[in-house]
Amino acid sequence: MIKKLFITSILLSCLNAANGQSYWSYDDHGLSLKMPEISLISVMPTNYTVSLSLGLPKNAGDKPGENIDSKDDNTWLNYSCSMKYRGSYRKIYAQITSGSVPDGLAIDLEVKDLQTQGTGTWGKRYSKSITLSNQPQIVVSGIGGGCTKRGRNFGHQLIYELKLTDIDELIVDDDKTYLTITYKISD
Amino acid sequence: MQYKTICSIVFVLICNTFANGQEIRIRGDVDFSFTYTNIKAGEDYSLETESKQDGVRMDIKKLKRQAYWRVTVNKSDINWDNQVKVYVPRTSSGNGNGSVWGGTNYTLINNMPQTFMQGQGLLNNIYLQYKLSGISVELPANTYYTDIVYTLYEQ
Repeated sequence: MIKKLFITSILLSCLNAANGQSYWSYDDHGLSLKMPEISLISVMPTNYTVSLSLGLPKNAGDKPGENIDSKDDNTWLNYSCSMKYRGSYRKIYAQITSGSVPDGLAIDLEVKDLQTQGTGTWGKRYSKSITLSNQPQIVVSGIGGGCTKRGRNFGHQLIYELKLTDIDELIVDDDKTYLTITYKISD
Repeated sequence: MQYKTICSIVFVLICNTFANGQEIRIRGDVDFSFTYTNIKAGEDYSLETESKQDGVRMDIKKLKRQAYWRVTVNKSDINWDNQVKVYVPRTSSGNGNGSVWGGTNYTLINNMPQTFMQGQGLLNNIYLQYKLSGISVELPANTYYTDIVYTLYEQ
């Protein structure tokens, strides 16, 4: 009997020795981070109205032309964009979505490249300038995951210029013409 | 006498064999989620974000009487971007007859285990908080996953 107990104790000792390294245990839990695709765009400063007027001719016989009031460079285009891995780069489109430019006139838009660095992959202007119309036109392209920072002096400076295109079509009217210019960020 | 001694030894060995060892238990998960409402156009996400202070709880159980212990932490990535760093501090000292030290400062969690905190005796409800840094719109849109692993060593 003693011999059996002795053998049992040796076997149990071996078993304990085998388990004897288990002076540790572990547990775990999940941690997740969800980052969505976003495309946010804003013209800064908010609630600013661009006001343009054609300059009066200085001398009889001159055309109404450029003056300080026919240009506005006080707005900036800000955006933030997050895209999927290897997703397609975004573009910004500009168009007149309400109202129309009076006959004989045109509004040119120049979009400047960033003068203050943003974060990540920001876009570049698509062309030196466009003439605004009610059709969407690309003004910025190559936007990846990134942002311009927010506020005046960040992002793409917008320069609007009112131009005389045909004096024959120009109708003198004291009333103001209101336009809405919409910027859209998209694939 | 010899018979009784051997019987006692066998009894102790049986107890040791079938007794459960120390145990660490983690309760809770952590989900960080961002939406477009978190930022305005032009802005980046706040580079750092924190979870609730009591989102995850740790229990230290089944120790030998008043044994000393230490806990290591590491992460096991399933789908994680290395730009995002994960930190953990404990925000409470738990309840029970034990005590804990260390772990109150933000510990950067790597893929290799490192000592997070040490203590003595049994404790429940040690609260853990998480902080992520490196959050940016530059991160590709996706849902990222990692496992946070805590290992208890009885000393």
